[in-house]
Amino acid sequence: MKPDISQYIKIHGKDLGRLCSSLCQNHFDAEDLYQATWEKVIRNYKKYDESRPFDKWLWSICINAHKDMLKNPFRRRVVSFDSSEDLERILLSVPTTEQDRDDCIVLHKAISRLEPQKRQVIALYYFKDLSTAELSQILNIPEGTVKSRLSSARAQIRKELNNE
Amino acid sequence: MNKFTDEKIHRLLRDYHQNMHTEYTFIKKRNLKPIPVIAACLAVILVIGACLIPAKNADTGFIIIANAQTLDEAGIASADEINNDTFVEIKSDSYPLVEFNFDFVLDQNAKEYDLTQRYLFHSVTLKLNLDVVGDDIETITYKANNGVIIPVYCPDGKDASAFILGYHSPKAEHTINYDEQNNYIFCFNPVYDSNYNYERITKYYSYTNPEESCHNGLTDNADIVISEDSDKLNAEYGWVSSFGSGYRNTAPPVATQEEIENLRTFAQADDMVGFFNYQNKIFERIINQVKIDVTVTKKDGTTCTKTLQLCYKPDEITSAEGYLDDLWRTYSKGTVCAKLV
Repeated sequence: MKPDISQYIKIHGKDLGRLCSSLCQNHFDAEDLYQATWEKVIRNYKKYDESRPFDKWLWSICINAHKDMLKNPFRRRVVSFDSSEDLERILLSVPTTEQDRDDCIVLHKAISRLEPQKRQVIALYYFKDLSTAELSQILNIPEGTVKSRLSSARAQIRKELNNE
Repeated sequence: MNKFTDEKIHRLLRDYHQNMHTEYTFIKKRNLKPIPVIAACLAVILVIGACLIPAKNADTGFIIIANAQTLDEAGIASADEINNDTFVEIKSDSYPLVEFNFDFVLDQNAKEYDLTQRYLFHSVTLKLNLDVVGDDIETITYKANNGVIIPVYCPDGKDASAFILGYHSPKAEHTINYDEQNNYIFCFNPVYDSNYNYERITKYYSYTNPEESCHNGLTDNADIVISEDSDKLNAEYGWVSSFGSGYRNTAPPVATQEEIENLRTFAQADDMVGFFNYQNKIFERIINQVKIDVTVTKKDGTTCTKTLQLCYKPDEITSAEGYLDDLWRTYSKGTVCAKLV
């Protein structure tokens, strides 16, 4: 018998919250994405194949919900006027030293400017140290494509950071 | 010289992503999105009268969680057909979902109930858990298209929010506070004056033995005899008049005369499996006609009404055992679902 969904919310809720934050880069969209993901999970729970790890299934659903969110022409677009304030909302703790804080703001801006496809790869790769093979399964794209997107995203971030 | 090396970027990215905010609320705090313009226009054209101010109502989106079977399982509608602001939650119920309630008009000399005797269906009970969840909701009003809704307080909160569905009855509605919705059982009763019925049964269940009533079947104590002989029955059977003054009514029973005759045929042939399967079909016909308007009033005064169309898919009954209890209530088995229309 499948466990109650509330058990999964308890176990994976925080990780999902982290992924939503990474994907959306702002607190409000992340909150919407978090809820949309669990709604999809509840609706499709009977289709969940228990032989597959639940967390991977959850990340896939989250990625698809994020794609849906981006496709919605009426979605709310949030632009922050203050990068520091933005960071405080999206991060658990903002670096305390000035240099680290500045680096973090620059990085945040660079990631925010990534194309959604590249941001998805970066978010999944770093938030749980997932392998490219795992990313390939979650995103349903070839592993080679994962690697090229990852490489391209890192190159773009490097360029932006060093140009600041 | 590059300030950020690959190694440093790698570390920054890892630190950044693992330091992400993690706490988000689920369900209770819901950010509502503006309704698409085209959809709003269509809503104005197609749902005249359903919502007086579509743009305003669009902001009051709420979620209905019906503790029944999913629409997919029932084959009624796919999940994609459900509005984005709504979904139906699955929860199996420990008690029978549906009950047929009928009484027997006995021969004066009869010593025991007999299914072959004349009997009358007077109500249908559907226990359907229903819960509305949303932001800043003040009250929820339920209104049945063909039933009287009677709230009953369940002190222990178990099996709450059930419905007893009637048929051919006056319209009635009832409003509850959002925070209290899980503490009530709602009843639909089929036959007589809504105000009188409402007051009487509410009082009975609220002040007599609400906890027991919640779990032991409401209509057990709220029986009504639909018969031209009701005066005689009132006199003969204390349970009718135990509520106070006796009453009579002229409303038709929930089952048609033809259906009653067919049931009798099954009973006379001692074919109780056939009897209960046929009864289940009657139930399907009745349930499928029931709609419940759910109106949410938010704290800012805005309202929105959504209509639930109930639906029922009978299970095939292969054994009559367990479908008739000591109180002469019969049970059915099937899948109940609620579709937003």
